[in-house]
Amino acid sequence: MRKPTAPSRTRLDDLSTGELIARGESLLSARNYRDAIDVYKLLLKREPQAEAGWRESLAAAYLERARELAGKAMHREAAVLWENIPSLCGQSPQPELYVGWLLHSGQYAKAVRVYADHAAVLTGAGELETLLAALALTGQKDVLQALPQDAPTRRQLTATQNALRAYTRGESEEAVRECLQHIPIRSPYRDLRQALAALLKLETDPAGATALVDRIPTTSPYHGLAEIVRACAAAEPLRTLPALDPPSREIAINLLGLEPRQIKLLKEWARLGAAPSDKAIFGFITANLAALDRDQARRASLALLPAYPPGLAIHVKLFGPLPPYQSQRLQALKAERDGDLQSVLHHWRACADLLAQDTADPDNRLMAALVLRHLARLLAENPPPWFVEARAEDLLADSLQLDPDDRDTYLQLAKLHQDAGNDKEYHQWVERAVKQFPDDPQVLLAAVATATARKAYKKAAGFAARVLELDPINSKARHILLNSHLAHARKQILAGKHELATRELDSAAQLERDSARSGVVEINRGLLAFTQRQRERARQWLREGTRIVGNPLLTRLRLTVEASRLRLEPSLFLRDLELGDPGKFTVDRTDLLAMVQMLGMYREEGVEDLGAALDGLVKPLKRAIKALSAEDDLLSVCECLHQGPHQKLLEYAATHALDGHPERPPFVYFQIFGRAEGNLNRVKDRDYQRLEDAHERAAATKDHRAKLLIERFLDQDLFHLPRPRPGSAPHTDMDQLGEILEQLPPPLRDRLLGELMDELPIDADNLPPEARKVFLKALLSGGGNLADFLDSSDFPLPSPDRSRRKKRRS
Amino acid sequence: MPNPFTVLGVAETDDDDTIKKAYLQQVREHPPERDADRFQTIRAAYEAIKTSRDRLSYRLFQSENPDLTGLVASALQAGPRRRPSERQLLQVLQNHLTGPK
Repeated sequence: MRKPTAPSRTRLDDLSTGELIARGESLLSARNYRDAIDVYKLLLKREPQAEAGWRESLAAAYLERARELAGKAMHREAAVLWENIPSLCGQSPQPELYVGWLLHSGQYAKAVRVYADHAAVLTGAGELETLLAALALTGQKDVLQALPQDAPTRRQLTATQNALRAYTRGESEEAVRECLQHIPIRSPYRDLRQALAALLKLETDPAGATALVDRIPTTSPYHGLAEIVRACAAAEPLRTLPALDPPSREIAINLLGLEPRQIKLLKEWARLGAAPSDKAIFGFITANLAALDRDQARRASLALLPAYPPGLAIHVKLFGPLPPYQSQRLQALKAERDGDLQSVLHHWRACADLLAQDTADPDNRLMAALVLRHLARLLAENPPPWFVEARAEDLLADSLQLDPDDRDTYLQLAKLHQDAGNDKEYHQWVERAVKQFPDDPQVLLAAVATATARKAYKKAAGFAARVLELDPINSKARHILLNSHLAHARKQILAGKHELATRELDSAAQLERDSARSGVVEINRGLLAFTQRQRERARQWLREGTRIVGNPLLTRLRLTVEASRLRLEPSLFLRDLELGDPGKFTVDRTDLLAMVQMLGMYREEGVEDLGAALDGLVKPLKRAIKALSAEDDLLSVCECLHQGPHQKLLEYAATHALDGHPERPPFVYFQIFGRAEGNLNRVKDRDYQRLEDAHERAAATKDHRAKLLIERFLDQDLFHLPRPRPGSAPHTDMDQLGEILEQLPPPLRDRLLGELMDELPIDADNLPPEARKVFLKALLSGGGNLADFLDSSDFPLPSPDRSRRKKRRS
Repeated sequence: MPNPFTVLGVAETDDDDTIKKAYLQQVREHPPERDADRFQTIRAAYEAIKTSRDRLSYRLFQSENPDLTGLVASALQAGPRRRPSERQLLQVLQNHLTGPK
């Protein structure tokens, strides 16, 4: 124990006994055992006959300090410290700790003596005995000599050694088990008995071997053997081998039956480390080809080439030449890794061309098609800059030339054209899909959608009926057919053909499942009855419809829309139904989302101006919107109001959404759109700026929907001139226009110029349109004919009109 | 992802039926309730190569680095097991006894 420093000792000596007692207690509480030892030693020196409490405290301080030292693997020092306790304090606390420290510091003879002396009071004696037994087994002479003759550790040593030798000499399983029987279950060698049994079992039942070693505690000296068994029994031993130390790993390798060349492979693999480079992995594969499965090595090498292109020559040398398309494929994959879109496009196209031309392998055409579809997917995920000529639609269409049997590609093409507003192509692709896959429900549903879009309701119903034949529980087809009958019913009601209308309503009613009735059939029956002047019957049906809808808000909406479709005034019925004051309706989240769904369905059916149906419900809807917080809910509501449209509610909803989700691009857009009532000309400069910022954020976060919405809104201004930021110098519209046009590729520039020219209004100065066209073209194209105009007195220079915005032709 | 062909123990030229049978066999040996991780690996492997189109797609677009462990494991098909020597076992025991505590 370190001597206290002189100043500290002097200070302790200067303290009174009372002060020392207080200090001692404080040091013990603070777990400063080293200094506590000094204090209590001094106290006992002053008053050797003092109360036992001081000796107890000193003993505790010694013991805890010894534990601290043992925790730092200073077992010898810990043992020395403990030895002070009996002599100074007259007690021997936890002798098993002392024995353990003696063993760990190699003082085996002493450990055995102390163990024998304290055997009766030792706790954890079993663990100590196991430790002593392990030491005896490894031939520690001190332990062997110090062991009493009748100690189990000595008595059972020979049997244990016999079992060990029987196993390691390769004797039969029966012979080894026979030897193990001679080791008692409670023997200090019991853990080795378990380990040897588990090693035997590895040869026939690895899973069972693991169960045996689970009984060996982690503190056991045989825990290392348990780990070897677990590693060998693991489902993928190679993943567990690296965790073993080298001697254990060597045992495991032998137990797994690996050969020298395999061991060499393992060693080289271990040398690769945790995160080898692509080059290192490639080198490992090619250097150990003889040991590896050749086909797997070839595939692995090929898989590495995009990441490690220099390996190509070696790969060809080892595995033979690659087909021509492979070179392009590898370069394309490398380009994908590098994010070089132009190279990606170039190489994948080249790959597809080579595959398509090579008819030797029947799979090549299909592979070419797959490449084109892969490319289309990449383009969709990473829209290329304008100067890159590649369209997903073209690639997908080309892929169908090579492989017409891919339904999803047809549907994808249809959707792409639909999203781009190319209605004609959208319909054409669906028709082609139907021709190719006449019995595919998904294709038929797409056909229903296009037929509905073209208002060919009978055709749509035909497709829907076919879907139901193929898939009787298809709820979408059922819904479409139902709507088709309702549409016909309305047509008949408006034509005054009540009997036919009734039949259509009966057909619609049959399609509605009991569990999914919406009340729309009943409401239309009521409206039909009204047109037949059967008021009471009308009232009954309308009330039945109200009951089924079950919610005043949705009932009111349903009735308003259905009545409007039949050119009836909704107020004629609403009063009678006693739904209450709509301004006082209680609308919760469920109701609001149900409303969104209902309006969505109406929109799909082609009902326009649904916003008007919401006019009487602004107050309760605002209250309900204010209670929403989830972004998804608010987005659904805003989308609904945007398409409704109901601009006031849209602005309100978006503003509330922005409180909880600041600067989220879709909400910025919806707020500004609603505020400006969908008219870009009414957008204030500040909001315009916010829109542009939101557009940038949408692009950065890949929010394609928001980006598209903003672009379409801004496209109302054909030449999307960035407005001057506050404080910046004003610019000339014409200059900006010219700059933008210069940046466009020539075909696009000419097209836009043409459109601009065609849309020029007559100037207030009455400048002839032809003259203005030429003048403007001159200004924008670099002033070819400008001088002629400036010199002519017939054409005064018009003043630039900064407020003019050009509307894009739809 | 580990090579799906290796995971399922099938050849690249095997047909859909063979691959499905191999998949079902693997699932029987490694059901999700007993070995969830392994099951996920098997499932993912099957999804990657269950049809000829899938296999061609995998052949064309797979660009992940190979699973080296799987490659080495395939090379380490077990031969006859060899029991350790007495010296080796006692060495492991000795290391555990004299190692730091």
